[in-house]
Amino acid sequence: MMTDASPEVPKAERKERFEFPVFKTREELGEYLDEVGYDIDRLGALGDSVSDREKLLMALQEKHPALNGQASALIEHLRLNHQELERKEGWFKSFIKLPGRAMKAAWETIKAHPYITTAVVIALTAAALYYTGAGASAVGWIKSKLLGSMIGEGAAQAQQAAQGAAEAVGEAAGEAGEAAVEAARQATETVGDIIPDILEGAQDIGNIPGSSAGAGGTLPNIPGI
Amino acid sequence: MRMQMVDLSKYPSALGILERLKSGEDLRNINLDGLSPDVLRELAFTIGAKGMTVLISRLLKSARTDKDIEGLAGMSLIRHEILEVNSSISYSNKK
Repeated sequence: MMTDASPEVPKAERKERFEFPVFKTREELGEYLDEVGYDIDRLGALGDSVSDREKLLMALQEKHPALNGQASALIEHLRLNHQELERKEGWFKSFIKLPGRAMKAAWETIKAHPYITTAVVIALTAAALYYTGAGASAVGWIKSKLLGSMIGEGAAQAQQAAQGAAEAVGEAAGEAGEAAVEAARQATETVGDIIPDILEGAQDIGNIPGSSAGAGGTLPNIPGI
Repeated sequence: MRMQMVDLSKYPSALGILERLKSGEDLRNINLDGLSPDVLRELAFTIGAKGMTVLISRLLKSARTDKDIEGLAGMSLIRHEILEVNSSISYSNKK
Protein backbone atom coordinates (compact mmCIF):
# COMPACT_ATOMS: atom_id res chain seq x y z
CA MET A 1 0.00 0.00 0.00
CA MET A 2 1.18 3.46 -0.67
CA THR A 3 1.15 4.52 2.93
CA ASP A 4 3.59 1.71 3.59
CA ALA A 5 6.02 3.36 1.22
CA SER A 6 6.27 6.72 2.90
CA PRO A 7 7.37 5.57 6.23
CA GLU A 8 9.87 5.97 8.97
CA VAL A 9 12.35 3.39 7.75
CA PRO A 10 14.40 1.64 10.42
CA LYS A 11 18.11 2.43 10.20
CA ALA A 12 18.96 -1.20 9.60
CA GLU A 13 16.89 -1.18 6.42
CA ARG A 14 18.11 2.08 4.98
CA LYS A 15 20.47 0.42 2.55
CA GLU A 16 17.52 -1.25 0.87
CA ARG A 17 15.97 0.39 -2.17
CA PHE A 18 13.40 2.98 -1.22
CA GLU A 19 10.01 1.94 -2.50
CA PHE A 20 8.44 4.76 -4.43
CA PRO A 21 4.79 5.24 -3.51
CA VAL A 22 2.04 5.23 -6.11
CA PHE A 23 -1.09 7.20 -5.33
CA LYS A 24 -4.53 6.31 -6.64
CA THR A 25 -6.06 9.73 -6.09
CA ARG A 26 -5.03 13.34 -6.31
CA GLU A 27 -6.02 13.80 -2.68
CA GLU A 28 -3.60 11.11 -1.50
CA LEU A 29 -0.75 12.60 -3.52
CA GLY A 30 -1.65 16.06 -2.24
CA GLU A 31 -1.48 14.90 1.36
CA TYR A 32 1.88 13.25 0.75
CA LEU A 33 3.29 16.48 -0.67
CA ASP A 34 1.68 18.55 2.08
CA GLU A 35 3.80 16.63 4.56
CA VAL A 36 6.93 18.09 2.98
CA GLY A 37 5.35 21.53 2.62
CA TYR A 38 4.79 21.33 -1.13
CA ASP A 39 1.70 22.25 -3.12
CA ILE A 40 0.58 19.59 -5.58
CA ASP A 41 -0.42 22.24 -8.12
CA ARG A 42 3.23 23.25 -8.47
CA LEU A 43 4.30 19.73 -9.40
CA GLY A 44 3.35 20.03 -13.05
CA ALA A 45 5.43 23.16 -13.52
CA LEU A 46 8.37 21.86 -11.52
CA GLY A 47 10.62 21.80 -14.56
CA ASP A 48 10.31 25.58 -14.78
CA SER A 49 12.06 26.37 -11.55
CA VAL A 50 15.46 25.09 -10.45
CA SER A 51 15.10 26.56 -6.96
CA ASP A 52 11.64 25.04 -6.55
CA ARG A 53 13.02 21.67 -7.51
CA GLU A 54 15.98 22.00 -5.13
CA LYS A 55 13.62 22.88 -2.32
CA LEU A 56 11.51 19.79 -2.91
CA LEU A 57 14.63 17.64 -3.22
CA MET A 58 15.88 18.72 0.16
CA ALA A 59 12.48 18.35 1.80
CA LEU A 60 12.06 14.80 0.48
CA GLN A 61 15.59 13.83 1.45
CA GLU A 62 15.05 15.17 4.94
CA LYS A 63 11.76 13.33 5.38
CA HIS A 64 13.03 10.09 3.89
CA PRO A 65 16.70 9.51 4.71
CA ALA A 66 16.41 6.08 3.09
CA LEU A 67 16.19 7.76 -0.29
CA ASN A 68 19.98 7.74 -0.44
CA GLY A 69 20.33 9.99 -3.44
CA GLN A 70 17.12 8.87 -5.13
CA ALA A 71 15.23 12.05 -4.30
CA SER A 72 15.50 13.30 -7.87
CA ALA A 73 14.13 10.02 -9.19
CA LEU A 74 11.34 10.20 -6.64
CA ILE A 75 10.38 13.65 -7.88
CA GLU A 76 10.15 12.41 -11.45
CA HIS A 77 8.13 9.46 -10.21
CA LEU A 78 5.72 11.75 -8.36
CA ARG A 79 5.39 13.96 -11.42
CA LEU A 80 4.57 10.93 -13.54
CA ASN A 81 2.05 9.80 -10.94
CA HIS A 82 0.50 13.28 -10.96
CA GLN A 83 0.41 13.30 -14.75
CA GLU A 84 -1.29 9.91 -14.85
CA LEU A 85 -3.84 10.99 -12.25
CA GLU A 86 -4.72 14.00 -14.36
CA ARG A 87 -4.95 11.84 -17.45
CA LYS A 88 -7.20 9.39 -15.67
CA GLU A 89 -9.45 12.20 -14.56
CA GLY A 90 -9.51 13.52 -18.12
CA TRP A 91 -10.24 10.08 -19.49
CA PHE A 92 -13.16 9.58 -17.11
CA LYS A 93 -14.65 12.89 -18.26
CA SER A 94 -14.20 11.86 -21.89
CA PHE A 95 -15.67 8.42 -21.29
CA ILE A 96 -18.94 9.89 -20.02
CA LYS A 97 -19.32 11.81 -23.25
CA LEU A 98 -18.74 8.81 -25.50
CA PRO A 99 -21.84 7.39 -27.22
CA GLY A 100 -23.43 4.82 -24.95
CA ARG A 101 -24.36 2.63 -27.87
CA ALA A 102 -20.76 2.45 -29.06
CA MET A 103 -19.51 1.56 -25.58
CA LYS A 104 -22.16 -1.11 -25.20
CA ALA A 105 -21.23 -2.54 -28.59
CA ALA A 106 -17.55 -2.60 -27.61
CA TRP A 107 -18.27 -4.43 -24.36
CA GLU A 108 -20.62 -6.93 -25.98
CA THR A 109 -18.03 -7.65 -28.66
CA ILE A 110 -15.32 -8.22 -26.08
CA LYS A 111 -17.59 -10.67 -24.31
CA ALA A 112 -18.55 -12.44 -27.51
CA HIS A 113 -15.00 -13.35 -28.47
CA PRO A 114 -13.37 -15.87 -26.13
CA TYR A 115 -9.90 -14.89 -27.23
CA ILE A 116 -10.46 -11.25 -26.33
CA THR A 117 -12.31 -12.23 -23.19
CA THR A 118 -9.31 -14.23 -22.02
CA ALA A 119 -7.00 -11.29 -22.51
CA VAL A 120 -9.36 -9.01 -20.61
CA VAL A 121 -9.79 -11.52 -17.78
CA ILE A 122 -6.02 -11.70 -17.31
CA ALA A 123 -5.71 -7.94 -17.40
CA LEU A 124 -8.48 -7.61 -14.82
CA THR A 125 -6.91 -10.34 -12.70
CA ALA A 126 -3.61 -8.52 -12.67
CA ALA A 127 -5.42 -5.31 -11.79
CA ALA A 128 -7.30 -7.08 -9.01
CA LEU A 129 -4.04 -8.44 -7.64
CA TYR A 130 -2.62 -4.96 -7.44
CA TYR A 131 -5.83 -3.58 -6.03
CA THR A 132 -5.88 -6.16 -3.26
CA GLY A 133 -2.27 -5.42 -2.41
CA ALA A 134 -0.71 -8.61 -3.71
CA GLY A 135 0.99 -6.85 -6.60
CA ALA A 136 4.36 -8.08 -7.67
CA SER A 137 4.45 -10.74 -4.98
CA ALA A 138 1.75 -12.58 -6.90
CA VAL A 139 3.91 -13.13 -9.98
CA GLY A 140 4.72 -16.65 -8.87
CA TRP A 141 1.10 -17.42 -8.27
CA ILE A 142 0.06 -16.30 -11.72
CA LYS A 143 2.82 -18.32 -13.33
CA SER A 144 2.17 -21.52 -11.47
CA LYS A 145 -1.58 -21.49 -11.01
CA LEU A 146 -2.80 -19.67 -14.05
CA LEU A 147 -0.56 -19.60 -17.07
CA GLY A 148 1.68 -22.44 -16.04
CA SER A 149 -1.25 -24.82 -15.89
CA MET A 150 -2.39 -23.67 -19.31
CA ILE A 151 0.95 -24.46 -20.86
CA GLY A 152 0.90 -27.79 -19.10
CA GLU A 153 -2.23 -28.76 -20.93
CA GLY A 154 -0.35 -28.33 -24.17
CA ALA A 155 -3.38 -26.96 -25.92
CA ALA A 156 -2.49 -24.73 -28.81
CA GLN A 157 -5.57 -22.69 -28.18
CA ALA A 158 -4.58 -22.06 -24.59
CA GLN A 159 -1.13 -21.02 -25.63
CA GLN A 160 -2.60 -18.72 -28.20
CA ALA A 161 -4.88 -17.20 -25.60
CA ALA A 162 -1.98 -16.68 -23.26
CA GLN A 163 0.02 -15.05 -26.00
CA GLY A 164 -2.85 -12.71 -26.70
CA ALA A 165 -3.17 -11.90 -23.06
CA ALA A 166 0.50 -11.12 -22.86
CA GLU A 167 0.24 -8.78 -25.78
CA ALA A 168 -2.85 -7.19 -24.34
CA VAL A 169 -0.85 -6.05 -21.38
CA GLY A 170 1.90 -4.73 -23.56
CA GLU A 171 4.06 -7.67 -24.55
CA ALA A 172 5.63 -7.82 -27.96
CA ALA A 173 5.32 -11.54 -27.75
CA GLY A 174 7.83 -13.94 -29.18
CA GLU A 175 7.06 -17.60 -29.20
CA ALA A 176 3.72 -18.55 -27.76
CA GLY A 177 5.16 -20.56 -24.89
CA GLU A 178 7.49 -17.84 -23.80
CA ALA A 179 4.72 -15.31 -24.09
CA ALA A 180 2.53 -17.33 -21.77
CA VAL A 181 5.16 -17.23 -19.05
CA GLU A 182 5.94 -13.63 -19.78
CA ALA A 183 2.26 -12.72 -19.47
CA ALA A 184 2.51 -12.99 -15.73
CA ARG A 185 5.41 -10.61 -15.59
CA GLN A 186 3.67 -8.29 -18.00
CA ALA A 187 0.47 -8.37 -16.02
CA THR A 188 2.12 -7.42 -12.79
CA GLU A 189 5.08 -5.32 -13.80
CA THR A 190 5.51 -4.14 -17.33
CA VAL A 191 2.20 -2.46 -17.88
CA GLY A 192 3.53 0.33 -15.74
CA ASP A 193 6.91 0.27 -17.38
CA ILE A 194 5.60 0.67 -20.92
CA ILE A 195 3.36 3.60 -20.11
CA PRO A 196 6.06 6.18 -20.89
CA ASP A 197 6.63 4.51 -24.26
CA ILE A 198 2.93 4.56 -24.97
CA LEU A 199 2.65 8.17 -24.04
CA GLU A 200 5.72 9.12 -26.01
CA GLY A 201 4.25 7.51 -29.08
CA ALA A 202 0.94 9.14 -28.39
CA GLN A 203 2.46 12.59 -28.70
CA ASP A 204 2.73 12.25 -32.45
CA ILE A 205 -0.37 10.19 -33.00
CA GLY A 206 -2.46 12.51 -30.90
CA ASN A 207 -1.69 15.47 -33.12
CA ILE A 208 -3.23 13.90 -36.18
CA PRO A 209 -6.94 13.64 -35.46
CA GLY A 210 -7.58 16.92 -33.69
CA SER A 211 -11.01 18.50 -33.80
CA SER A 212 -9.84 21.05 -36.34
CA ALA A 213 -8.67 18.40 -38.77
CA GLY A 214 -10.74 16.59 -41.34
CA ALA A 215 -13.19 17.84 -43.90
CA GLY A 216 -12.81 21.43 -42.83
CA GLY A 217 -9.07 21.43 -43.38
CA THR A 218 -7.33 22.98 -46.34
CA LEU A 219 -5.75 20.69 -48.86
CA PRO A 220 -2.42 21.70 -50.35
CA ASN A 221 -2.43 23.04 -53.87
CA ILE A 222 -2.14 20.34 -56.48
CA PRO A 223 -0.20 21.37 -59.55
CA GLY A 224 -2.11 21.02 -62.79
CA ILE A 225 -1.07 18.40 -65.26
CA MET B 1 2.11 2.80 -12.86
CA ARG B 2 -1.43 2.67 -14.20
CA MET B 3 -1.80 -0.88 -12.93
CA GLN B 4 -0.86 0.33 -9.46
CA MET B 5 -3.38 3.15 -9.75
CA VAL B 6 -6.28 0.87 -10.56
CA ASP B 7 -9.42 1.27 -8.47
CA LEU B 8 -11.82 -1.65 -8.54
CA SER B 9 -13.92 -0.53 -5.58
CA LYS B 10 -16.89 -0.03 -7.88
CA TYR B 11 -16.44 -3.36 -9.59
CA PRO B 12 -16.57 -6.13 -6.98
CA SER B 13 -17.26 -8.66 -9.73
CA ALA B 14 -13.76 -8.06 -11.05
CA LEU B 15 -12.44 -9.11 -7.68
CA GLY B 16 -14.70 -12.13 -7.94
CA ILE B 17 -12.79 -13.24 -11.02
CA LEU B 18 -9.60 -13.23 -9.01
CA GLU B 19 -11.23 -15.32 -6.29
CA ARG B 20 -12.48 -17.85 -8.81
CA LEU B 21 -9.03 -18.21 -10.32
CA LYS B 22 -7.53 -18.52 -6.87
CA SER B 23 -9.90 -21.34 -6.12
CA GLY B 24 -8.55 -23.21 -9.11
CA GLU B 25 -11.14 -22.47 -11.76
CA ASP B 26 -9.89 -22.68 -15.33
CA LEU B 27 -9.21 -19.34 -16.93
CA ARG B 28 -11.11 -20.27 -20.06
CA ASN B 29 -14.27 -21.03 -18.11
CA ILE B 30 -14.53 -17.47 -16.91
CA ASN B 31 -16.58 -15.00 -18.87
CA LEU B 32 -17.39 -11.35 -18.30
CA ASP B 33 -21.16 -11.67 -18.04
CA GLY B 34 -21.36 -10.63 -14.40
CA LEU B 35 -19.34 -7.48 -14.87
CA SER B 36 -20.76 -4.02 -15.34
CA PRO B 37 -19.88 -2.55 -18.75
CA ASP B 38 -18.58 0.43 -16.83
CA VAL B 39 -15.52 -1.60 -15.92
CA LEU B 40 -14.39 -0.83 -19.46
CA ARG B 41 -13.62 2.68 -18.27
CA GLU B 42 -11.11 1.47 -15.69
CA LEU B 43 -9.78 -1.34 -17.85
CA ALA B 44 -9.17 0.80 -20.94
CA PHE B 45 -7.19 3.38 -19.03
CA THR B 46 -5.16 0.71 -17.28
CA ILE B 47 -4.09 -1.17 -20.40
CA GLY B 48 -3.80 2.10 -22.30
CA ALA B 49 -3.88 2.81 -26.00
CA LYS B 50 -1.33 0.10 -26.70
CA GLY B 51 -3.42 -2.51 -24.91
CA MET B 52 -6.50 -1.38 -26.81
CA THR B 53 -4.54 -1.63 -30.04
CA VAL B 54 -3.76 -5.25 -29.31
CA LEU B 55 -7.38 -6.06 -28.55
CA ILE B 56 -8.48 -4.29 -31.72
CA SER B 57 -5.91 -6.00 -33.92
CA ARG B 58 -6.88 -9.39 -32.52
CA LEU B 59 -10.54 -8.66 -33.03
CA LEU B 60 -9.93 -7.62 -36.61
CA LYS B 61 -8.84 -11.16 -37.32
CA SER B 62 -11.98 -12.71 -35.92
CA ALA B 63 -14.70 -10.16 -36.67
CA ARG B 64 -17.51 -11.80 -38.61
CA THR B 65 -20.73 -9.93 -37.96
CA ASP B 66 -22.07 -6.42 -38.13
CA LYS B 67 -22.10 -6.36 -34.34
CA ASP B 68 -18.40 -7.18 -34.34
CA ILE B 69 -17.75 -4.22 -36.61
CA GLU B 70 -19.84 -2.01 -34.37
CA GLY B 71 -17.83 -3.19 -31.39
CA LEU B 72 -14.59 -2.54 -33.24
CA ALA B 73 -15.73 0.99 -33.93
CA GLY B 74 -16.44 1.48 -30.23
CA MET B 75 -13.05 0.12 -29.21
CA SER B 76 -11.36 2.30 -31.79
CA LEU B 77 -13.19 5.29 -30.37
CA ILE B 78 -11.97 4.41 -26.89
CA ARG B 79 -8.40 4.15 -28.11
CA HIS B 80 -8.69 7.47 -29.90
CA GLU B 81 -10.00 9.22 -26.78
CA ILE B 82 -7.22 7.76 -24.65
CA LEU B 83 -4.64 9.11 -27.08
CA GLU B 84 -6.34 12.49 -27.08
CA VAL B 85 -6.19 12.66 -23.30
CA ASN B 86 -2.58 11.47 -23.24
CA SER B 87 -1.45 14.10 -25.71
CA SER B 88 -3.33 16.89 -23.97
CA ILE B 89 -1.73 16.26 -20.59
CA SER B 90 2.02 15.76 -20.67
CA TYR B 91 4.53 17.19 -18.26
CA SER B 92 7.40 16.11 -20.45
CA ASN B 93 6.36 18.66 -23.06
CA LYS B 94 6.54 21.58 -20.68
CA LYS B 95 9.60 23.74 -21.03
